[in-house]
Amino acid sequence: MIFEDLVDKGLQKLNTVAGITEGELFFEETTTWELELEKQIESLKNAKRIGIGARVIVDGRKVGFYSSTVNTPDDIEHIINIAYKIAKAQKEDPDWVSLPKNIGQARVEGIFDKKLANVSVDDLMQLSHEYRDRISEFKDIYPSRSNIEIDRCKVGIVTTYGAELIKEETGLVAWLRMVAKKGAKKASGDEYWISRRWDAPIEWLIGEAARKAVLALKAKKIQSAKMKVIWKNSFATEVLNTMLSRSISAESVQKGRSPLAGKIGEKIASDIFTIIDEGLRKWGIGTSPFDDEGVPQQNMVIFEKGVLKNFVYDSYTAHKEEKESTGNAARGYTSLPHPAPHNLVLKRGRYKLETLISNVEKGILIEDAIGTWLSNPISGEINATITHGQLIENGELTKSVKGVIIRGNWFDIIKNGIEMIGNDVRAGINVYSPSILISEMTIAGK
Amino acid sequence: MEDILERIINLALDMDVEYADVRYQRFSSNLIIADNGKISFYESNTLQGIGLRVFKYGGWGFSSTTDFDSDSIKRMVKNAVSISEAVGSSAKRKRSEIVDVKTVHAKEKVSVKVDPMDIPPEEKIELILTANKNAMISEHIKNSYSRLGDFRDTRLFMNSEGSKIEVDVTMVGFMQMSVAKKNGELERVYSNKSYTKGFEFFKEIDASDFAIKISELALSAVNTQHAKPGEYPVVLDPKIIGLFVHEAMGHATEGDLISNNESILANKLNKQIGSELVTIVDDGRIEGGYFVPYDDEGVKKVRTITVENGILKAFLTSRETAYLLEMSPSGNGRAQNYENLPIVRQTNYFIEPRDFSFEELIEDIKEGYYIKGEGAGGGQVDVGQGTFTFQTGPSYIIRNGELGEMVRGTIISGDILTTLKSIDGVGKDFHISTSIFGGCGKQGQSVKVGDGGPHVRVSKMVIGGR
Repeated sequence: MIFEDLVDKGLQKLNTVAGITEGELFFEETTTWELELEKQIESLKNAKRIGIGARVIVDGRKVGFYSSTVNTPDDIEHIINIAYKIAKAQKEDPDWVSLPKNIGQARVEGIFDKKLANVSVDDLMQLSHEYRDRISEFKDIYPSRSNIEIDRCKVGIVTTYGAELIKEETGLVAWLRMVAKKGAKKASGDEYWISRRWDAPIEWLIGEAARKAVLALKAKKIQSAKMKVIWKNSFATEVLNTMLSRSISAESVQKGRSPLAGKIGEKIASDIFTIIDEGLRKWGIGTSPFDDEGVPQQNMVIFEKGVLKNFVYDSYTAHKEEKESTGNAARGYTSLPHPAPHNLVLKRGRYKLETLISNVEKGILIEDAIGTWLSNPISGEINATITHGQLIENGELTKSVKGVIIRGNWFDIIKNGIEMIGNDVRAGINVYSPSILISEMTIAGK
Repeated sequence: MEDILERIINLALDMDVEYADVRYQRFSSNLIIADNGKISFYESNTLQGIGLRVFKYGGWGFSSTTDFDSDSIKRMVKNAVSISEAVGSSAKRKRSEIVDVKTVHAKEKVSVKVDPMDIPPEEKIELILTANKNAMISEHIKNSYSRLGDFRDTRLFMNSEGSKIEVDVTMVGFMQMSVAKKNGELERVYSNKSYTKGFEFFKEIDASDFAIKISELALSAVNTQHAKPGEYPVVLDPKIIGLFVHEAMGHATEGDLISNNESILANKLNKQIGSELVTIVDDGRIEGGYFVPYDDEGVKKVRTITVENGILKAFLTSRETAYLLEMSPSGNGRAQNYENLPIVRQTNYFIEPRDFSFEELIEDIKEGYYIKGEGAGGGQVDVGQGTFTFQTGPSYIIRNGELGEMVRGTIISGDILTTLKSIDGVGKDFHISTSIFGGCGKQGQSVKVGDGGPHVRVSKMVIGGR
């Protein structure tokens, strides 16, 4: 099956189905390589999947959705028919207006890497040999289960409004764990890399994971106290994702699940706090010429100098407020779209991480924590258990810390608590962030 | 489809592989959600594909596709073989490290009277909406949330040793969550009823009655007290016992965790690890559970007694872990779908019943708790350290051998082996359950499992409240 032919065929079929008000087909072809490593290569898998999500609207406002893998081009008709039957059975959705009509493509750079797209078994074996050689250099530090996944993905969107869009993207996620042992004591360290290119820095990943494992092995609890903390970039991306990704979605706002509802134009954070959803960021993980409904992506300010400026919309949530989609529809072929940010970027500051550290008399540098996602984005209560942290005394890293809980309120922190922002921007899930120095958080330890 | 799979095996054999197995799967599912009287979600999906696993030069190769045209099939075979060659050159294994099993020709099917795929969407919407609305039994029920799910999973397995196995499972289920709010306090209670059979299930159970029962439970629990934290004798119901044996014991007996030395049960074979009353079984075909007559390596799922009268007797194995542990393969090599490699998984895990009646279990308890799983569940287990924590549903105080008031928000925790040794009464009742709405996750794969047992008394268990 040739993907482009399949998309063409989909458009033809969609236009010949009788009795539908509107229709949309979302095509996805994914080729995946998944490499699992431990002491050596554990497994290597390859998968190719082609799927279609069909959204069909009948009787004006009844929406039906069905998704399926495509095994032969003839499946398309059947898929549309089932979506039609489901649509017929639905009740009318009073909020339904239409599928998006502002279809198009923005100019973007860096969503497709040829090397990654054509990665071979030999390339992956070479990578695993490099890994094997690197880990053998360590003493008393052992590799645990690690994983590298490479995706090549084609997306096609056609609608009864004549849209026919196709794009091709690549992505790589590497996740690595090392375990340090001393006597009966064991501790682990993780490191990850997310990219659109063939650039996984194996040596750095292993080095960082090993460094963290050793840190954790020596780590202890400290006395409970209030003190300064630095969210290292990796941890900062996690906090920002938990606190913002859902709160700035128009769906959360409309359903009353966002603390930011009704606060557009209000100053919520300090001047230093500027966040842009960079849908067009060069080589950005969430960068794309169009979103998952075919609406052009854009760079959009979310917070400007502390003032809340915009929420992210897909077409359904936008139409509810008589607006246009902001190009933030997200989905896989098996589900309906929902609004989500692409690349949330916290504006970088001027300082190196070392400078942030040297400005702390007493505090903690937080590298990794568990349970961050259990923090409450509605009340703003941040709660996480530090697994990899370092005590800072008189501007220097002194001891490693783990097992203590940090607490603080997100809204207080962004309003009054950000002292300095670093220049060391790093990619996390949906978020790019530098390290951040916070004036005070509560540490619950011994 | 058999022709295509046979062609794939032959293509692989032409490329000099030592072993090949190929799995075809067609999985169709529907999930409908009703929230406070409205349909909020209707997802219907079909997944159909082929996965090929080959062994050559001492390495495994795996590739899968949904594209059934002959070029794509050839590419899949080529990918699988070149992976196995490359992996084999780097991490050599011997063919003998995959334990031999009998060649099987079999066709197994869950008995279905009404195929859920034949039920029109209108009828399903009507069923769930009626139950969802009926569950709003009082102004204090602030949220009624229901799910209706069904699927049909057809799997065809063939290998280069001549086996050919088809397994066809149909499953349906209904889930209700009700939130009660009274005097400023909230209580959320949820439960599901799932079964491996057709849509006739909804003639046997009334979804509305079930949903109403959950709302009633939420209402009666909302203003009750919390348990007094401490150590008590407890009686656990089949639902919480199921959760306990699956999470705390089942995972610890998985062969890969044993061979990697990640489980507390490694090196404990043939040792007394629990009270003599405890016999624990993993069985792929038992009333109320999920249906696993064969695993995804073409091995018949045997009834595995992992613990017999308190003595650890066996582990759950795949063909490879069976070799490493010098055991016979138990048929526990399962894959989430055709796109995944089989790994060691449980099927239906339970404690065998004995002869105590419920009254006999509670009559000697002066002060303790009757812990129920219905309404909650979920928790965390550290298989390496052997500790567990579970959230329970609305439960009861036991006072002087009789059930007292209801308590809520109870947490039980403890050490797995200490708890197994503290079991001093096992009931004669027996109940196994499974769920269409969840699964057991391991290494990124989710599979359906079942669990349960009789009522069980534990002489000492840590109870946490608030």
